[in-house]
Amino acid sequence: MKKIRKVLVANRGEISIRIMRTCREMGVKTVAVYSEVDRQSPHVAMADEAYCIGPAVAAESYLNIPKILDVAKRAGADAIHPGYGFLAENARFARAVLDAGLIFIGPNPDTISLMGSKTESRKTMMDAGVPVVPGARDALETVEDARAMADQMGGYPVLIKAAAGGGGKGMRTVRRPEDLARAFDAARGEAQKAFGDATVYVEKFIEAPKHIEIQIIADQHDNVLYLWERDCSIQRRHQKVIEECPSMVLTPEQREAMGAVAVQAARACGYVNAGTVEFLFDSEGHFYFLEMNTRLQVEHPVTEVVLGLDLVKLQLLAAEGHPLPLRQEDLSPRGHALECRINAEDVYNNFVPSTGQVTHLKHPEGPGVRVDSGITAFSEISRFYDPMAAKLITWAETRDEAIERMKRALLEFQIEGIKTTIPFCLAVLDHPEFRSGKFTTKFVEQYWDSLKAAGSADADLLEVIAAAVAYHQDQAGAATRAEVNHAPGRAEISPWKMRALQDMRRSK
Amino acid sequence: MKYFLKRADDFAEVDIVAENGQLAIHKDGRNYQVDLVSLGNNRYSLVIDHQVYSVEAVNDSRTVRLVLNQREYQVTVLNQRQKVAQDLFGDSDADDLQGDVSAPMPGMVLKIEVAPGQQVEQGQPLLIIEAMKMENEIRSPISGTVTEILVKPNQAVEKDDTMIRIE
Repeated sequence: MKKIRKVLVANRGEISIRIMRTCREMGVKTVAVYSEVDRQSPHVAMADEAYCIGPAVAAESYLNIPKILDVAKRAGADAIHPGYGFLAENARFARAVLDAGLIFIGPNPDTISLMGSKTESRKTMMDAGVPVVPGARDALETVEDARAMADQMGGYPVLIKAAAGGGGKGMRTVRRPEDLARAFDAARGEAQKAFGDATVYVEKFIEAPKHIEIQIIADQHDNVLYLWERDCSIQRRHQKVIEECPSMVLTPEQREAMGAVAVQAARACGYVNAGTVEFLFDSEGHFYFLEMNTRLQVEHPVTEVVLGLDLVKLQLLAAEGHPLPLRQEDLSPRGHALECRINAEDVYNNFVPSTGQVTHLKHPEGPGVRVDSGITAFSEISRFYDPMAAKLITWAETRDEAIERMKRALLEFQIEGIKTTIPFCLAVLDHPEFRSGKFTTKFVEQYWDSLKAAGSADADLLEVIAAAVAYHQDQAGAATRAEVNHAPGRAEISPWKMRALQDMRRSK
Repeated sequence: MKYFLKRADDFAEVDIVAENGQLAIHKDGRNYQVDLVSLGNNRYSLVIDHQVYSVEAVNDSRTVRLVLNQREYQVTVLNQRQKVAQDLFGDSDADDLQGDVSAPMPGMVLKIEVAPGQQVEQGQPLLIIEAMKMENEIRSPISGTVTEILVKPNQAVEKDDTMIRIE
């Protein structure tokens, strides 16, 4: 059994920090890699060692396999943790890590490769008797193939998906035959950009399902556990926004059934380490295999909090070759956990990315609150990377208490300089459909108008506050002018010159 | 001291008197006792008739942009001097060309879906910008005719760059 003494984390932002925290606690040294614009990123400060690996563009830094391996060698790291995104599900990378004589903290390259292809993974799951969404068994080359497949499945709506996809990239819903060609091209274009592979396929679009996923963990000794579910149905454009554990709609029997299928899926592809089996869960309680994510998920903290586990620790132990330190019947879930993703996006302007410098930051604190953040008070939110700035996780004995705690924590969150999804999360948490727990992936689309209007403040109050602030600033401005004007040996300065002077000072 | 406010379609006039370090604000026949403290970093703590509010506020010449309970609002606030100037010289905001389509964020133009001279409807897709690895469809703010296209595919744009003009 090989002991891991130093881990290179091939990532940036909050997930790098998350991984390094556990490494520290386990006495494992950490190595950060960073691009030229990320020297000030908190993941660099968190590490024991740090190496710049190239320009801002991810293709030349965080996706640069030779450079990352070179750093691993120079630093004397014995393992690489890929986090999520970037190279996390790149089989070629995992293979290169193993070939370099290092431990890859994740499943083996063949599993990644198999599950990374939506078409291949579907075939494997079909053969293993795992229920899948009806649709194409193979990739589609042309729009005509897609059209034929759609007709064969009984018509529209259908979903075009990137074979190499994930995170909603390279995915388009098509409701009318005349929209197929445009969506097909768009999905291929986006897939090529995001994954370097334009291959797409088509499957039946299941109306208003829930997205429920099962966390699994497997060691190298044929032990596979399911670590309960996460309900990730609150999504916008296929991007998860709020996740929770447990789901309000699963009976213990359904949980056990889905867990057993997830374990079966993991065994079918020889899975080792932490992974997630995603399912669509329809209104009648049927569930279909959607895909398997061969990495640590963004939303893993809700599982950790409810089960009292450290998934990164389990990952390291499994990667070292230890048998899992617990059995299925040892799990002791307690209470309810929620996670809100705090993205740098302008909610009220079609969620466009909100780039720029964070000018002030204060995280929420207090009982039952966990913040996994990738930014600091002076971070630059760059257009080069993912807009997720932080994750806010709350835990309480009951779901209602966890929601109230989340609202409290969201209101405490102070981020200035950029716009974030905090107001959106607040609006969702108060919505009766969310409160019921029965919401589906259609929730945001369905209730957008009421979500957008939610929480609007009293007009009189806003105007009184605005007037008070304007008055205060006028007075402060007058005081500054007076001070300068009365400075000894200084002639009277006109307000115009004063303004120019202030501008000059500011630009210095 | 008088202040003139505008928010959405709502106009209001308030009168502010400073007394004992607090502000007495009179608005629409109501008096508000306001205690405002600056906390730095554009943050203010206000106690209005003993109700506590925390806001982030930036006064950008005549527009106060404020965040209250994590929602952002904009209120145009003019003091007496600014009001006189506006009455004399007109409202410069009215000159803003509504049909200028500018980039909402820095990114890369992927595809332009309209041509000069083309009639477009409000909400019609005009072009696609890629930023943060996502494709963002930019739609027309008004119905009209495309008069000018100032960008090309694969061109990098900065936030607020004008990309297309529509009249």
